[in-house]
Amino acid sequence: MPIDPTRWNLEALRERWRVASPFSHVVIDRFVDASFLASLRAAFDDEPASNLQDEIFDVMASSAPPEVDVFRALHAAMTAPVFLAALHAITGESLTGAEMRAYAYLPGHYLLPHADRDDGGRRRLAYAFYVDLFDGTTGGELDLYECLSKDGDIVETRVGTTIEPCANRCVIFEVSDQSLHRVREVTAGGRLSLAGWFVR
Amino acid sequence: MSELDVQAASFRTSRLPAVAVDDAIDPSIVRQTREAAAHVTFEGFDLAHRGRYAFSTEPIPPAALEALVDVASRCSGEVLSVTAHRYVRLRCGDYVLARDDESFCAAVAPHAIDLSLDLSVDLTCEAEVVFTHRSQAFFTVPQRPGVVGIVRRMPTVGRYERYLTHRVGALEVVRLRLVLSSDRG
Repeated sequence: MPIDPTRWNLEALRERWRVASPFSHVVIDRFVDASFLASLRAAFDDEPASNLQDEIFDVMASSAPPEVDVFRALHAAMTAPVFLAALHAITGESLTGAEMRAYAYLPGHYLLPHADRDDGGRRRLAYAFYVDLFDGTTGGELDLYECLSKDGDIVETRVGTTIEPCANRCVIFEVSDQSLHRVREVTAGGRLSLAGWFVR
Repeated sequence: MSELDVQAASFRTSRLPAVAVDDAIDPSIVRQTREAAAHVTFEGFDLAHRGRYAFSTEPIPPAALEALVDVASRCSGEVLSVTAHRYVRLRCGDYVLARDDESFCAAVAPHAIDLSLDLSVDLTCEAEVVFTHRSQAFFTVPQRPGVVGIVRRMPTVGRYERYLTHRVGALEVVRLRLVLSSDRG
């Protein structure tokens, strides 16, 4: 089992989730065991990826879900009943699965501020699992925004929390209209991650 | 036949009229307008979900105004007048999302003409203006000094300006943007 949520202190994580600012999130370090992390790192060499560009992003990304077996094993572990039960204990969300892509953020790559809310509200939690940073990575931090609303419109935004990407760190955060976040432009080195959403 | 005339023919027959023309405006007028833009007072805008940029609504030099209205009118075959304008300046880390454009265009008449003149000194190959139809990109105005982009706006058409990365260093992208409507409404 590459992830062992039974070793997590669920009570402490639930409390961190509850008090987190600017919106609910939790950071879990040493997310997978060391040998599995090495396998994931190596798998990036084998995973087909293409450069995706859109209004809010420019990044190298795999298909969803990724193709190589080790990524699929991670996906299986993150959708296993024991894992989803742990997430439920932390966040209160009842989840049935997860969507996943592998990403490589290289110099010039970014993800602009957005909320992940989908029309059906199926996405309940977003996650980013950092597998590796290399060649003196600069940038690639995850910013979570604090939003001030008036009459239903966001009228002020500012970065509330910045989460440093570290190998073997997983960040899980709530999905809502107000859960604005971004990945700062990588200006040197590179950042390998797997990211997506937990869905109901 | 000038490049503008060729592009105008395409514009008038297209389902999604959109053209980008180099040298549509006399280079001396572009220089004069760039000089004017260098002296306007820009105001910063920063709302993460809409964009980060600087803008100004100071007046357009009369010669530039006349030339740009003429270009847009020749392209569309309509008699046009300006209903809104602004200078927009992007520096590294800046961007303008479609959500912000909705705000700017809220008061614009349906089927208005959206024109932008690139006043930048340098070519960055970034921060292009992208137009979408039902959220799918269908036309891109490159970031190239002097280029004029002309697009007919429809309710299904959106617009954004791509992020300007730190690769460009201190270079800036400056555009003058006009929204023009037919005098016949």
